[in-house]
Amino acid sequence: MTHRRRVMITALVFLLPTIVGTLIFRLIPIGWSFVLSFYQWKVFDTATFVGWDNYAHIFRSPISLGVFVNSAVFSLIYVVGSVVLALVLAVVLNNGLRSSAFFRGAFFMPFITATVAITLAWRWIFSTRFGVLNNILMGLGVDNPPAWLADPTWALPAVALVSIWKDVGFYMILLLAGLQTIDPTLYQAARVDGAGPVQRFWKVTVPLLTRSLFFVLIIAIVRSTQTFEITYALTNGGPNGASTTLAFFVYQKAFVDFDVGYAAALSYIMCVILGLLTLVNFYFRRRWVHE
Amino acid sequence: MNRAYYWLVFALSIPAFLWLVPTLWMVSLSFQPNEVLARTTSTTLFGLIPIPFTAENYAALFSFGQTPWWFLNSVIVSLGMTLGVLAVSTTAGYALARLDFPGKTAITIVCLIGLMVPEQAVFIPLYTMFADLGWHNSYHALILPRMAVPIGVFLMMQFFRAIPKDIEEAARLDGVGWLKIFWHVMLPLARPAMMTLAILTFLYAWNDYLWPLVSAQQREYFTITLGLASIQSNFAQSEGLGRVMASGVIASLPVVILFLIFQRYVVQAMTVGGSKG
Repeated sequence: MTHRRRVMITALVFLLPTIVGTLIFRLIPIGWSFVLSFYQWKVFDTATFVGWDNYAHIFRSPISLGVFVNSAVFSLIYVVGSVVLALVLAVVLNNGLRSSAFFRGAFFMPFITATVAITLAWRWIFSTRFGVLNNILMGLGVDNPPAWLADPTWALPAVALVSIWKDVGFYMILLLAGLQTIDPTLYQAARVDGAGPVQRFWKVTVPLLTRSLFFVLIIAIVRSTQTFEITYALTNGGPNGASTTLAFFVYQKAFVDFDVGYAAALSYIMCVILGLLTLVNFYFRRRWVHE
Repeated sequence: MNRAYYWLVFALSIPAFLWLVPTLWMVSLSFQPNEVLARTTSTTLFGLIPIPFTAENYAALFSFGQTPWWFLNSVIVSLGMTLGVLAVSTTAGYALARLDFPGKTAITIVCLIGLMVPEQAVFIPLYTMFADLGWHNSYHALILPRMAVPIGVFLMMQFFRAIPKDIEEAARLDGVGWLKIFWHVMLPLARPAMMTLAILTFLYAWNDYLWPLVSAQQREYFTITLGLASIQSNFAQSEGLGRVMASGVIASLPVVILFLIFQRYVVQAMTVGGSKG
């Protein structure tokens, strides 16, 4: 056997599981999903081709339009809240705290604990009669605290709050990594030139951190569109759909209502939105990031 | 300087406490009797200190109910996935980084596209595919689809690229075959990257919820997070609160311990991702 052939056979054997896996579990399903989105198909029933009907219905139904609004509100609260908080924490921790390992661990801990498990604790915190939050609020003299998870106004912000709480440590670690690549002499130079801490933050830290910031921003946006477990365990999308966001709606349509074609169309819209957001992100990234 | 330092620590302690307190509550409530919790949860310090103390919630979980079995399922699935991802990613990563063969670019692109496909979009077809094959409610249904994680391939590829070429060239001149080079030279060198990948995969597998939820409908194949959610809906919020919290602690404990032991590797992995972005 020639050397070339031996290399080729080794490569084939080494890559086969990855190629087969990517094909079977990623690429074929995404193609199939596209086909499904043009059918009306309730599982255990025959599928009928309906053209663009699923898509048309999605954009006309008040329920799915409400879900889009919820998703946008959720993403906005989540992305802004978690990225800003993570940035503040990362900058503070980066300024030479001796006990920073403890703080890093404290903020990162929620990210690794089992989502469903820790959401149960939050459910109790938020619960109307037994909840510790309302106990504290009433102790502080608030007479009629909201029912939080059972209140249509507060359910979605509550889900966003728990999501921020869970993920902020992850973004903080990513930003800390970015901060550590900034040359400390730049801060010394800025200090010599008479820049205060606020000026140093805006003129040195932020411009040099844009690369990491955009990376974190992309991840946060993607994660915000995929939120599922916290919604599932905290509010189950309720009350009356008030906290249902897109990914959760896809799940409900597919695995609760068994309306597979409709769910496939929804998931495709989700893909397109995600793709557009990524493109926008890349556009701004190219304009603003200092390489 | 010194005073500013203590102010900073103090200022950070407040959010750090808020970040830790839900977990502390979960632990503390799990050690309190359900009868007491059903009456009031404003026990000692809003329930933060477990008085009266009991371990009966844990005893109950492990005596009846399928918690030990679900726990074992989670261990099997998470370990199976971790080993699978390691095997698939190291071999593919090595081939893409070090072997020259036609079609290499095409394969890299295919993997990249696979990387960008969001999970929610492949869920429904995967579900129907596995249903047609009659594969649901099995360990391979829980493990196999989660093994196609192109991110692992990229992580290993980057790592192998960074290893100097002379090391394997020396071995090749001695007439050592590819497999032996891979096994005896490259893998030992890649141990740190493999550790990182293994821990991240294990964490992901243990906490994973959506796929087990749709794939495992029989209670024997529930993972611990699934089982946990199923008990939670059986207990009214106030009645079995202690037991629900105990199951939460049990579900979280392995990953928390793993994180505390291997914190260095986890943080390192995040750092690699962050600077490569």
